Amino acid sequence: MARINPPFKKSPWIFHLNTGGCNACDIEILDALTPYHDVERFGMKLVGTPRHADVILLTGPITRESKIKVIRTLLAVPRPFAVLAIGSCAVGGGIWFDSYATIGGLPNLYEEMRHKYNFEPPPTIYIPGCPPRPEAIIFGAAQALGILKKKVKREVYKED
Amino acid sequence: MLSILYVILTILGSIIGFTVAPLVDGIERKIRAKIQNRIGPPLIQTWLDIAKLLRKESLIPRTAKALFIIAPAIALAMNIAALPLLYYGAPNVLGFYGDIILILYLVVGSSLILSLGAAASGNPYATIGFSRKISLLIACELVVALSIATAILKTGSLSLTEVILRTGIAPSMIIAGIALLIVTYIESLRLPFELTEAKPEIMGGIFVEYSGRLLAFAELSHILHRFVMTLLSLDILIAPLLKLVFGVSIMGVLMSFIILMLISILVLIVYGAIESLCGRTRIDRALIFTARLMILPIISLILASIGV
Repeated sequence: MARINPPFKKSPWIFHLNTGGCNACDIEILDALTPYHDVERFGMKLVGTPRHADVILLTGPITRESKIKVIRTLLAVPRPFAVLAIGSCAVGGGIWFDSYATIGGLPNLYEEMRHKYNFEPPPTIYIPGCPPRPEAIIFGAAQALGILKKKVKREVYKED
Repeated sequence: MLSILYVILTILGSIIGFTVAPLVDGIERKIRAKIQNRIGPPLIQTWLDIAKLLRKESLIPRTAKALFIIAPAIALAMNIAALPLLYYGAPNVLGFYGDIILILYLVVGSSLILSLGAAASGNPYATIGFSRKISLLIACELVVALSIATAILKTGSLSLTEVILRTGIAPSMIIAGIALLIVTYIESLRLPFELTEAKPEIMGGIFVEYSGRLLAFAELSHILHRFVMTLLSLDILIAPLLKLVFGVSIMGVLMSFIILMLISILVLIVYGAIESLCGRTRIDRALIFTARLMILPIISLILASIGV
């Protein structure tokens, strides 16, 4: 769950991690980073290495080929950090949710990493859309930082 | 009485330098934002970044040597140690005979130890950044050393305060100061010469493996190094003139203190504005540019040796 007040609230440094997506989400991320949207006013800065990152922008359904690289990247990020799963593929696999070539989204990766690497999943914001608008990405980032409140909360369906 | 004022001004100047150098970085980022027609980060953004990094975990890669861990702290300590040795408009009572050599050592040593620490991380990107930094450092520090040698030759003193008090207006010192000012721009790794970091190219270069507290120390020492170098070149270029105009009375010392601080902040802001208009160059071109710059301190050295 998103932390209300992470230490990087005022200066989130973001790292862009494509896990085998089709590039549409990546183009929207680059759009969100342009002077038109000006995310630097929140202190955001694009960094080139996971060691400097506070927020990971993860796109793509996590293909089998890229899985081990994604795991090593997530393990290289110093805590505390947050993850934004951007696009339908990262949220739940998209149209590749049951393909043999992908593992079908970030929740499945978390499940695997929790068992194999003893990895506690960081606060994660899911931003659906194919691709999501840059405004949606910035909105999600603001939620992850605790600048804005979440509009939906978790509900579990129980059968009587 | 007057000597107490001198000590107070030196300590005050060091503290202002320490706190203002990251703020000036914030002003530079604001100017860059204004040039690109956007709002930009708040002025204290660099302090916020450092505060955040101090609260994060510091990961140490398996391939790293011990130097990787201690290098940022040593570099920061060297830059902080250089601050009270500089000239802040008042004769520096904390200075001593030979302090100009010590300043040279601290300035060179801090960049050197930072890049050595990066090389000890075992990351190939850091190694590329290290090799670039060392080639740039050799070219730059030769200019710095020759310029300071000019000042020593001109006045025959190894103390920075005495150099400034004895000089007056001398063409050799002015040329040496200009060379120092230009080499400060190159050495502080601003954009055409930002070869050792080069975020899109070598992923942060020498800083690539640093995280958390270690990165905060490295960033802070990098920013302080910019301030120290700028103030050192202004000490050679403008401080003799200020001393000639205002003298060393109480009011004169205060005036030259304020003017020197304002000019050094202004120079840093102008550097930031120039940086926002440039793209990155190649390492060989940067080296050729720096080698051509060598002509300035050589001229000033010749002028100083004939006593001009």
